[in-house]
Formats: sequence, structure tokens, C-alpha cells
Amino acid sequence: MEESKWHNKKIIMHIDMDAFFAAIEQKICPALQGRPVIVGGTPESRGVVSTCSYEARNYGVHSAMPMKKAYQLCPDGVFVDTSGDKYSYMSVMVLEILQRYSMLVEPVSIDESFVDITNVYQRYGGTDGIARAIKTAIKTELGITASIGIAPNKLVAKMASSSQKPDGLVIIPPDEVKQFLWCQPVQHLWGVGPKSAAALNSEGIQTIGDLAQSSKPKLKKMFGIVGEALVGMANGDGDSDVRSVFNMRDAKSVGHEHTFHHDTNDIDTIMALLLYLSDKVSRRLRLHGYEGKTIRLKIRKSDFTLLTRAHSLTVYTDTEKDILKYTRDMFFANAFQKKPIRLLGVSVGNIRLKSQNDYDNYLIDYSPQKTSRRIDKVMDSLREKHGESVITFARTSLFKDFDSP
Amino acid sequence: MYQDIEEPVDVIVLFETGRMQPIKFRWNGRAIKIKQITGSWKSDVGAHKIRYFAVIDHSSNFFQLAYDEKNTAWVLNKIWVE
Repeated sequence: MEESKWHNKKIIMHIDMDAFFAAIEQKICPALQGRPVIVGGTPESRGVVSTCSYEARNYGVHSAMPMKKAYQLCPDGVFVDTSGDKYSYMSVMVLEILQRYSMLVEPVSIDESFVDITNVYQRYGGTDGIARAIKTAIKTELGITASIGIAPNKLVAKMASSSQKPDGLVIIPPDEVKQFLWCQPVQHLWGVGPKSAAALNSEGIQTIGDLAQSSKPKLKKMFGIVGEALVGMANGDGDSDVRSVFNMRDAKSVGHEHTFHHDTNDIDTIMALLLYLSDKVSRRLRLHGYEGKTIRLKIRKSDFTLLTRAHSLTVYTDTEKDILKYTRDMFFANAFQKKPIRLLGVSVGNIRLKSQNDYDNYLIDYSPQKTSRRIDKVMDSLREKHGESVITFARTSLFKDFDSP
Repeated sequence: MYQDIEEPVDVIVLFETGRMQPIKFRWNGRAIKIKQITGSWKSDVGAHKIRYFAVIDHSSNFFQLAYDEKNTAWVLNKIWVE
């Protein structure tokens, strides 16, 4: 089992878009494909290269190089202006793709992000599966490529993504971290610049392995407090959290509601909508690796009176079956009267991040509830691949105004 | 290289499944049928948006069109010339 490789450690993914600005320019203008593209302005401009395509890198052009120098190295290059709006928009599109897989996404720049996949990787067939699903989504939907590194912390994940570009995928489980790091030149360590590398080299520290085994007091003397930290980094230490921009961690509940096009008291329509809403809520919980144990039903009648009811379970759930059962029970116990209904809402509160053990349990348990979980899992995987509308419950077809929820 | 044009153009647009897709436009007295939208993005200009469409015709000529939501007007921003 892959899980045993990770020893309950965090699993952090680093996504680094390949030659992002140049790749976007090549995608939108086919005439640029296969040509050395240099983004940053005209050859005469006083600016520097923002980024360049891999074809331009073959000429020795790189980011931050003066445009004049880039022109000298690559006179046949295609020089294009930077287009901030275009790149920012595409960056948001990348983030949207990442957030489909995990809610813990931290952008670190316009073309790089960290994603905590600890609680979600198994549902995509493991670390390799989730990485390949993300790479495919980016390639299919945006027409560009990304390199991905997966490791127990941000430092190693970032170094892993850099180690195989473009379109790379490098997975470093905890017990391979030292093997991965130690043979690399010390200047490859994130945070070690040319000056620090030169100082380390002058002390006989050539590789990250040399640095890992260096004396902390000696490095402290050379670099101050940073010196001690460098030894830790060289050993692959690090446990900083992925700071999510999609702040569901602070959310207390997940819910959906729908206002009917026309007020109704048709029980088939109402039950179909409850099923639809329960499915939406459970899907969103699972998508972000959450579960909850307080199920709430909200009903607004045609006269605008509002009824809310809640039921707390003894165990956490993320299945449509559980959510539907209790919302339906609450509906019949409290609200089913002749007066037409204007709005229905379903939410799950008291939520928490699901632990990995819960996944293990349902893989070996064949009770009816676990069977429902397996159906959810199949539906989730179909939706990941083909979109949210590819599969739904047949009974929801009884709900007539489906275009708007 | 890109050549800036910045001329108003008339565009026929298809609105389908919540998406806006230019399918044909008139420029320099000729109708240009769009074969493919190769990219689209938006930018905020104050309180309104400009929607950009990178497109190619059937001869693989490149055009960048912009739709100004506030003024409901289309502009051909630039073309690619060898």
C-alpha cells in the first residue's frame, strides 16, 4: 500500500507551470509554436526577459536577462510584450483546477502553487494518480503543461518539481528524501543563492549531503541563525502548513439551496429537489475531504415564513444517502403542509477534515452504508473525468426546473 | 510579429451553454470566419470587463478580438504577420 510509504506524514504537491507566459503565448497564437518566444518586450527595450520558451532557452536565454542580451543570443527569437491580464486570468484558471482536487491550495506566485493532498490523494488512485489527473486537466483545458513534485514538505516538493522539467512528475516519499537531496549540488537547495553557495563551496561543502552533515555551530558562525536552518533543510526537514486561499478550514457548514421557479407542494418535485441538494452537498464535502454530523433543512413557504430544522448524528457522514434520509425525515415531521414551498435548502454543519482511517474502513466494509459510499466514489470519479452533469440520480428527473440550481 | 490594429469590427457571436463565442467578423471589407478560439480571458477596466478572444481563421491567420461589455463594442486589437 502506498499509504505505508508516507508514515502518516503530510503529502505536499508543488505545481510549477512550465515557461508559463511563453507557453500561454504559444498556445493562443499557433504561429509561435515550436519557435523561441521571449516575453518581456522588444529587443530594443531596457527591460529584462520575463520568461522564455524552452526553444529560446536552447540559445542560452533565461529569465531576468536584459532584452538586448537575449536578442544577441537569439536574434531569430519572437519578442512579445508581457500581458499581465492574460497571465493572471490563466493563473486563476489553474487555481480553479487545483481546487477541484483539494481545498488546501496556496499560490506562491503567478505560476507556482502548493497543494496539500494528504486527505484526498487516495481517492484518485494515489499520489501518482492525483498528479496525473491534475496534469491532464491543465493540458486538456488550458493547453499548457505543468511540472509536479510531491514530497512530505514544501521544500522537497519544490525541489522535486524543479528536478524534471518540462511536463515532469517526481514523487519523493519520506524514506527517499535524503537520497534525493544529498547527491545534488548545494546551490540546488531552495534558499541557497550564488553567494551562499560560493561561501559553502569554499568550506568544502559541495553537495546538499555535505551540508546536512556539517557542524551547526560552524554554519551559524558563517551565516548566523540561517546557518542552523540550512542544516535542517539539507536533511529535508520542514513542516509548514499549506495556507489555503480557499478557506474552507474556517467554514462551519456546507450547504446548497434552491428557489423554485414556481411555488410548489408537489411531493415528487420536492423529494427530487431534496435528493439533488443532498447530492450537491455531499459531493462538495467529499471534494474537499470533509465530513459533518449536523444535518440542517431550510424551508421557505410561499408566504415567506421560514422553517429551519436540524438533526445531529452520532457519527460523521459525507454521503448523499445519510443527508437525504434525515432531511426527508425532518421534512415530513415538521414541514409538509398544504402551503406551497418557495425555497428548500440543505446543509451539513459541525464539519471536520476526514481522517485517512475513514477511507481505509470503507474499502473493507460492505455494509449498506459503505455500499452507498462506494457508489458515491464511482460517481465522484466519473464527475472528475467528465464533468458534474455526467451522472446523477434518476429520481432527480422528477424535478422540473433543473436548469437553475 | 504582432501588429497592432485597434479598429472597431462587427462580430457575429454565438451564445451557447453560458459561453460567448465569436464565430465571424468583418474587417477591411471582408468577412472572416473563425475556425478556432485558441484562448480567451477577461480584464477589469474599472467596474466593467473587457473579454478577449484569441482566434484563428481557416488559413491559420491569428487575430485578437476584444469585447467591451460596457460599450457593447468589438475591437480587433492585433494580428500576427510574418
